[in-house]
Amino acid sequence: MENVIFPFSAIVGQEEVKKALILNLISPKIGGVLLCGEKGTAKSTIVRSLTQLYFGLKVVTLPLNATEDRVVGTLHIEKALKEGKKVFEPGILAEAHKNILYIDEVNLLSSSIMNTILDVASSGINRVEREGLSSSHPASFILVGSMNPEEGEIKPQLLDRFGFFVEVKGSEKVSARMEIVKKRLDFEEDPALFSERYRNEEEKLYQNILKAQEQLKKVKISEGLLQVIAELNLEAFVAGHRGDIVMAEAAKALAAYKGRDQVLLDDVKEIASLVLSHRWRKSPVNTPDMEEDYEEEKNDKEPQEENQSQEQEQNEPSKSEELDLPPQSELNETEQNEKDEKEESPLPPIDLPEEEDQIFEIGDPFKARDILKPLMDHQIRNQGSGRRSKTRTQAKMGRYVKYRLPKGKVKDIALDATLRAAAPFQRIRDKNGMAVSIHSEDIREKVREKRVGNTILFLVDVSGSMGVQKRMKAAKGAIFSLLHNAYQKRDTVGMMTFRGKQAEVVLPPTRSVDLAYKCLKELPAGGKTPLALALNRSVELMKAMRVKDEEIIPVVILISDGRTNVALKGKDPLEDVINIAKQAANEKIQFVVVDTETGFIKLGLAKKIAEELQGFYVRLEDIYDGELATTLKWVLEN
Amino acid sequence: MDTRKNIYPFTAIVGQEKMKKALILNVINSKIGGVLIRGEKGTAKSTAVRALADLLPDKKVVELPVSSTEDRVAGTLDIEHTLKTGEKRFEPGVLAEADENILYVDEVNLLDDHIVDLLLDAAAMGVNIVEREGISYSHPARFILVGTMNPEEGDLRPQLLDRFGLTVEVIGEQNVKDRVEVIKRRLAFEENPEEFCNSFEKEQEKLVKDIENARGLLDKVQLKDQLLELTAEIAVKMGVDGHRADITMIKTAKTLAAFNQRTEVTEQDILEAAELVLPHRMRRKPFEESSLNIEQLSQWIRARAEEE
Repeated sequence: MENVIFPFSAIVGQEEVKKALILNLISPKIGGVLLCGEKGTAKSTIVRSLTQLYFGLKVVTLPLNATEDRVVGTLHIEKALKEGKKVFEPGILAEAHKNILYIDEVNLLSSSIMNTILDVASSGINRVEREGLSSSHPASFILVGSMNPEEGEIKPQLLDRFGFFVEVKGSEKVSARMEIVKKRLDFEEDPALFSERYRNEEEKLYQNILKAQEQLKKVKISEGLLQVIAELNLEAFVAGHRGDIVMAEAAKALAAYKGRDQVLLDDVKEIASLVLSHRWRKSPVNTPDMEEDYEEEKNDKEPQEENQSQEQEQNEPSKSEELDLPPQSELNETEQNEKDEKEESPLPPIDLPEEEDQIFEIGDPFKARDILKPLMDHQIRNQGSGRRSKTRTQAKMGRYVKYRLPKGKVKDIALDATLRAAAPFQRIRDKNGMAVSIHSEDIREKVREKRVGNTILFLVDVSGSMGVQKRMKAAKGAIFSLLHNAYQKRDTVGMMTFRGKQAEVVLPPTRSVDLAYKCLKELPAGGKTPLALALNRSVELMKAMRVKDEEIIPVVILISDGRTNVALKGKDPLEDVINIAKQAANEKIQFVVVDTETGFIKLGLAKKIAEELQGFYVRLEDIYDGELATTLKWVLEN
Repeated sequence: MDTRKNIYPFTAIVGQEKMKKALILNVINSKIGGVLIRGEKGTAKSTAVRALADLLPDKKVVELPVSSTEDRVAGTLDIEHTLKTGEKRFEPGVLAEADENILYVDEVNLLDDHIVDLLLDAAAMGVNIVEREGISYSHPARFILVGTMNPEEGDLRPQLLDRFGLTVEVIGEQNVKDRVEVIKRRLAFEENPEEFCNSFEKEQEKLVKDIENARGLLDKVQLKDQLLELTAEIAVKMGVDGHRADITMIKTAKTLAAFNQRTEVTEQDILEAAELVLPHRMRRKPFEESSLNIEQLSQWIRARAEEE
């Protein structure tokens, strides 16, 4: 495209992002960056601006709708058709070699394509064995992804493949916001003139990166610091060794950027959050006490830290005043500043080296937890959620990601792949007057992916008067919380209530917060408890929903104490419920029973029903106020 | 027969002033980023969009049906050409056609996820990159994104929501006199479209002229720093995500000034822009209506002015 790229140096703030990218340019071994943050925070702008940084560096964009053949490369169809030759036509991975491969909205990319890319990224070589071709070419690139977590999370195993992770936020400061708007408007008015103004800064930055790349070869890291790194990773329960390696590489790159040949503890501290925030896990053996232990210790030591706002933490991830390290003298820092100014980067964020800082030998006193502590709060939730998010789909819907050999009757033919399969034989085949002769063995079928969510129905007992308010509050709270994230999980949520002689759909399964708001404002309560009828109706409703879309995952959440007193067909009410529950258990519907029974004498009926339904059982008392949705999410994911 | 004449004239639409203004602002300044029209059925949403395009010789409406497939949206391998000649060729899709035009998506909230992803990519970069089915191709795709939705049928994904520069909420006219006028005009139009259109010729011409004037004036519009500060403060106060809201507010305010034949942005312009830019960008809590209370906002601005 023409010269319409916003210059890197003109971006206001976002120092962590800039640092992460620069370090990757210095040392591609770091393994890329994942930028995670709300919309409109210049995530894409920063990445794209790198193109202009120096000649020859390309930011190769991988669009979300890319198909596998274009990613890895494929048969050159023109040569195959015209000359009957099998020639490899390189794809995006070849283009990305020695460049930056950028995936915007990476959390929405097809998982099979993502896996392919990650495999190549780690080996540095793209081996292609497809369509009768056998080819391989080097493909080492810096992988940069960006995502908005509102659109869904990314699987932890993918997360780990990105060297760095940066949480991107907009600025809350008025002055910074003004500057951002001003620069943007200036740029749009005359992009060329605007870029010209930053030419010098860009050039300087480029020179600094070049210098650092040279310097990197000389940088050494002490045994003691390696031990620090290992301890940090152990303490954060990082899986595998990638974290350790990335951290060492990153610390070396930072030292090189600062013109040193020795890595300092400060370097490690500075890059720790970039490396660890997405790798941090709970203890792998699932020992909650250790976790709690830590929490307690943390609370004991720093009561105020809890209240600290997130942004504050964000801006200063490695606050040195919180660490048990020799205090830094400010005077010293300014001196250093002046001295290094000439060759230092134009970027203010990267702290300047301090000569007398510790190089760290084995045995030096050091506490991993002290460094980790400031990071504690912005670790991201590291639990799987991918299972629900994407499914191979049978219907002719969803995104075409790749092809396969058809099984049975061909419904969804992949024309391009079929044509490629037939192409090399065109010169020898008898065409019978057709332009192209396609044999049945050439036929390929599309593989499509589609995101599928749950259809969740809340089945709420609104009979009687005891505890109705509480049940409703829990259900409503959970519904709104789930709906609020409905677009993330592609869930639809509905509600059925039961009282007197009827079960009534008060909120048809929907994704709309507005509709739920309207429907659930006021609901009548009181009367007898027709649980059998309600259960029956809920199963029917879910079955009807499945007729409409066979790929939904139905979930029924029953909120009741199980004390039924209206039978379905004049029999014993409880027996009715048990029978229906037994049948319902075979319907491929997931059940969650939230028991609302309180008081000294407990009949445990809800638990019995849950067992018959083969569902998950939880007592409302055990759930924190308003936390029903969180509990449910956990249940659904496991 | 001239089919253009059969389109209901923009200026004949009764009421719906906010929607009309939002659309006009977008055709004056295509950098505003489109408009999302939220509201019930039968409120002249589609009529207005089509009428607007009819008004301007340089824009057309390219419709993206909800049932579109991704190959038709992004473009794909021209199979016919490949079969006949043995050469690859890109067959452009809806996004190519929409370049420099209005991309209209009715019921945008019902669009399939993977189609939304395509729109996001294209809207973000102004470029449509195609890497599929053996084809590698990219072309500019700068369009004014106009979407309509009925919020009761489900919400829009946040990332797509943010791509719309402005939102307006439409409801049917609430007073009887206006409703009668709506019916009358519609009947008159259906009876004799040509005559009906002719009767609005003058108003149409005036609007076209106003739009052209505003386009000419847009580059000359000035903005005082204190208004820039006000904008940033509004954004912080309203708790919006990211910085797109600030930028869009300023662009909208400038366009408003130009449309009102001024070369200086006023506080009123900012306020009016905020009303169009902010409602869909504020973080919403459950049990809360998403509407922005413009009364409160202007009160706050007044209080703020007094403080200084």
